[in-house]
Amino acid sequence: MSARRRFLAAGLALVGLSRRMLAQMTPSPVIYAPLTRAVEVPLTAVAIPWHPVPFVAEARFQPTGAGASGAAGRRVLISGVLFRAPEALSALCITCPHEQCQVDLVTDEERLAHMAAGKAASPLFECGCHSSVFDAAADGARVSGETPRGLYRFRIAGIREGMVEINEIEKAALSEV
Amino acid sequence: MKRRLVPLVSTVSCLAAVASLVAQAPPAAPPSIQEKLYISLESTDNLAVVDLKTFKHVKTLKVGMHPHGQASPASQDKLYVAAEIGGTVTLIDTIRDQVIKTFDVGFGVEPQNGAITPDGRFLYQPSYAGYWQVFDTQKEQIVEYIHTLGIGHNTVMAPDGRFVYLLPIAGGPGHFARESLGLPRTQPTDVTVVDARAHKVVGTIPVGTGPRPGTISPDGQRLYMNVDDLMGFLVIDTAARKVISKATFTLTADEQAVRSRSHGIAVANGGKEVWSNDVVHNLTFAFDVTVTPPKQIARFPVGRQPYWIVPSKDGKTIYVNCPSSDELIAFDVLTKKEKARIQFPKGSHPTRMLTVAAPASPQRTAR
Repeated sequence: MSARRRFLAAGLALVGLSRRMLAQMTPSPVIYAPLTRAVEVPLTAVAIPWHPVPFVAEARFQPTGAGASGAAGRRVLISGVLFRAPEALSALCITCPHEQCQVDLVTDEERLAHMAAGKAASPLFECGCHSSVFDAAADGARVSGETPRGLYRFRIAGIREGMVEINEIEKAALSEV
Repeated sequence: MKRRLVPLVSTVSCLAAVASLVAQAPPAAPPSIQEKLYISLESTDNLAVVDLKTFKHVKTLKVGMHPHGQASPASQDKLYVAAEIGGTVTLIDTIRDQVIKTFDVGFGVEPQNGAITPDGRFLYQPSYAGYWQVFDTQKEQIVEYIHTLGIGHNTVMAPDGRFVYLLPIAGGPGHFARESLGLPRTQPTDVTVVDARAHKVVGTIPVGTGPRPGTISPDGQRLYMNVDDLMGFLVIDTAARKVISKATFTLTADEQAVRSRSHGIAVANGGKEVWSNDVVHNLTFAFDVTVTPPKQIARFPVGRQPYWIVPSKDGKTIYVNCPSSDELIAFDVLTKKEKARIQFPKGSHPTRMLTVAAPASPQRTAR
């Protein structure tokens, strides 16, 4: 192989590797699915940071591929919480992505210190079944434990007439919760 | 002389009367048994001891990090507690409720819920990496490895100690994030049957999906087990080594719209009933297993996310724990009513548990 060919081959390999690395480093876009009905929570209920307001949302799961059921799909009820964290509002599904147990928001400093070896700067969500931990300040991102990912997120459509409107859920949640 | 004789005669009379009373008294009661429940408080690295006579949390023992499954031999004087994160197994004296020692002999990745032969000699200790270790409790070393692949998790010992049933879970991405020690990650759909004397695999029982917790009838003829994607349990004929029936929880439309799993299963009422948990719907169900398929006879609201369930030694009480609300609940099997609850410290997360009929003193220990 000539020096020129070797140079070209190395260049192509480098480009391929760079693209792959870039793809791995760029988070895949989150796909949301609509709720059957928007959930509304009074803004005043989430005035105080870290005081979650529970709600139940409804959606339809439409399986794709072989064995997919009829057009209506499966009715899915999703438990969530809306809270102020503290700069912004956050709406998260409280079903643990590991094995469907519901997570709890832990604000007690002593427990937080135990859960995060003294490193927790803000409240965490914890799964009672297998102790997976999620960062409440980072939109439910995975911190530790058996969970393969962070908590599923709802999308907040906006605030209308003093009501926080939640209208979508991460599509990936529908087959898991 | 007369004066001296009077007290003597009265003393002899008293002694005779006492002797007569003793002779008439019913025979002395056999030395008592202390029935207790040991429960892993996973988040605090503790083992709680609950006196089942008073239903009180009477003692807390520090064990390995993130305690999980427990096993006790027929003598009931010992308890082995596996620590998931600690990677150890702690031996407890159940007579005095003291830690005897902790074994750190390379129990692999996260030792889970083992079972011990009735004579107390061999502990079948599963590892998350996909195998069971046979730990010789006399030599204090692992003497055999049995590979099932999947994730070594739950273990059921036959009442006579002839066979041990290994129930590896299939797992998912979260489970597979752990070390596999070079073993391939698979999703087993079989129960592995092992000769508990020779420590050799003698068969498998196909269950079609990932095995979950299991238990066995008092006569050893039926294995009952939760499996993935079944809200209920399978009934297995252990002699034929095949599934012969299944029980399904009756759920409302709203409950069916929320994905859940069945986890934790116990035999009650002399083998006539099987009780099992529905984790996400916060329910426990009771089934009559004298009929085929088993018939649902009761459902109970419990605490948040019931996890494990065990019977009392006489099968007349069922205990359910709920790690998300840190509760232990006792149900009367006959009346199907809740009897009492214990509230553990918030965030302690009670998970695996075992009832033990510990001898009251070492003299009664049979080994």
